[in-house]
Amino acid sequence: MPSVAEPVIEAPPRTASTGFFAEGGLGAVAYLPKTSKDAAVGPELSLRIGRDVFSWFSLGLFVAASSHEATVPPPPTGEWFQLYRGGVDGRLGGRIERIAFFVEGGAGIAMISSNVLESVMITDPGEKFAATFHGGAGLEYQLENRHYAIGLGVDAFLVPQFSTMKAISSRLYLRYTYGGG
Amino acid sequence: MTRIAILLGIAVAACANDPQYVQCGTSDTMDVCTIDSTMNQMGSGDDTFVKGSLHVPIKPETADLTKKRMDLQATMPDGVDVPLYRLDQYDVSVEYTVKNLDDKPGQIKIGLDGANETFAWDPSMIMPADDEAPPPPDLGGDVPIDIQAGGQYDGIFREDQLLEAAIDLDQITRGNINMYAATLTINKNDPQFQPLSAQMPPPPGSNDPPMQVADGPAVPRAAFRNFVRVDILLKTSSHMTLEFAIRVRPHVNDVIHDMGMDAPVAELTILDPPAYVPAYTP
Repeated sequence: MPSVAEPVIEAPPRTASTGFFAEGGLGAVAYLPKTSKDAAVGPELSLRIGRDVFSWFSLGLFVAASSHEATVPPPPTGEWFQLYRGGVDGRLGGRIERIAFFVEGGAGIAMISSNVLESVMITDPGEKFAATFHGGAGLEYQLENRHYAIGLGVDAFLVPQFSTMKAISSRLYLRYTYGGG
Repeated sequence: MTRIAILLGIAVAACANDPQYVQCGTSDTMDVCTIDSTMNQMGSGDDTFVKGSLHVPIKPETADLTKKRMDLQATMPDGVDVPLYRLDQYDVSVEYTVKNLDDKPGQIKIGLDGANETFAWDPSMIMPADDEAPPPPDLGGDVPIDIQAGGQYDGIFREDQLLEAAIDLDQITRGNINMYAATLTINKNDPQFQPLSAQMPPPPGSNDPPMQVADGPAVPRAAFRNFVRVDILLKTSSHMTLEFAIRVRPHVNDVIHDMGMDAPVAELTILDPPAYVPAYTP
């Protein structure tokens, strides 16, 4: 009986899905000097939605909120404030099998919830809104389901009007891509 | 869609009603937020104190708020005036830090007084009836606090303490309620108070308390006056400094100026009403 070679079935490549996507992240924001002596590290929640224009470039909208203890000279003591940020950004990236890497940058608006930093002249009287700019990089790991990925992103952001407030924002996020492309 | 609406609602609620910290600013140079126990002492003997004051950065009444006040006035009994600045419009608290500059432990008392839009409360303006009469009370505080040599103490008069003090001041000044009774009872949840007739001296030889009868309709809570200025009294025999700031939490728009006491003077209402002096002090 002639032997029949068993067909070799190759697993299809796990091409990452591209298209519309949404990301939800949890992380922390740490201020850099000189703001760091007046505001403590605080937790951050972030959301990003966008579209992969190409496999290597995406545009997105983001919102982020972080909460911090104000460590200004007393009084007051033990008071907290929130920093809300929102805007647009772009992301350039590449992929090596399951691992994707990217650099990103964007601009938007920041809003601070209280004037507790006014006493140390980080904000001016009545000032709540300011422009913000950010840039950073990250890594993404594609899960078994090609629509899902988890990632780690680190951004630096700058708020020039808030006495040139600078901070590092780091986050772990989950990404879902709707498209099948 | 419902989920998005809920999320948006939560986001909006999270942004609302944020506190505003107010420090001495450029709008009223008479405000003093840092006081030193060795400078500008008032009073005499064991009752010396140093006083600091800070206004609440209230704005002139807008047409919209005038209409709301008029609508509220229409619901009031005859003879009850609705004030411009009411309890339901904002909450106030005071945060302070005391530093003991001496090389030995010391004790302080911090008195809380203030003013509403009609009257200020200044216990030093009230003459006790006789030598044995207790001193006129502050509206809050006045509790002994020990501070170690070179030490620091951070404290707060909470919103509910300022609320109680504001109601006490209104009861004393508008309702002729005995100042000891007003300050020693808890009134912060009262729905109304009954004004009384002015306190009059008892007949000679009588030990009865002054006769007072109800005078006019009860004042509903919606017409209670709020603080427009906070006064802090530092009482100590040691060398200490006290620094304070107020924290305002507005509940309606266009009442508190978001630039605090650094706002242009024309955009603020800075009220310094006369000190209340009762006709008779029991």
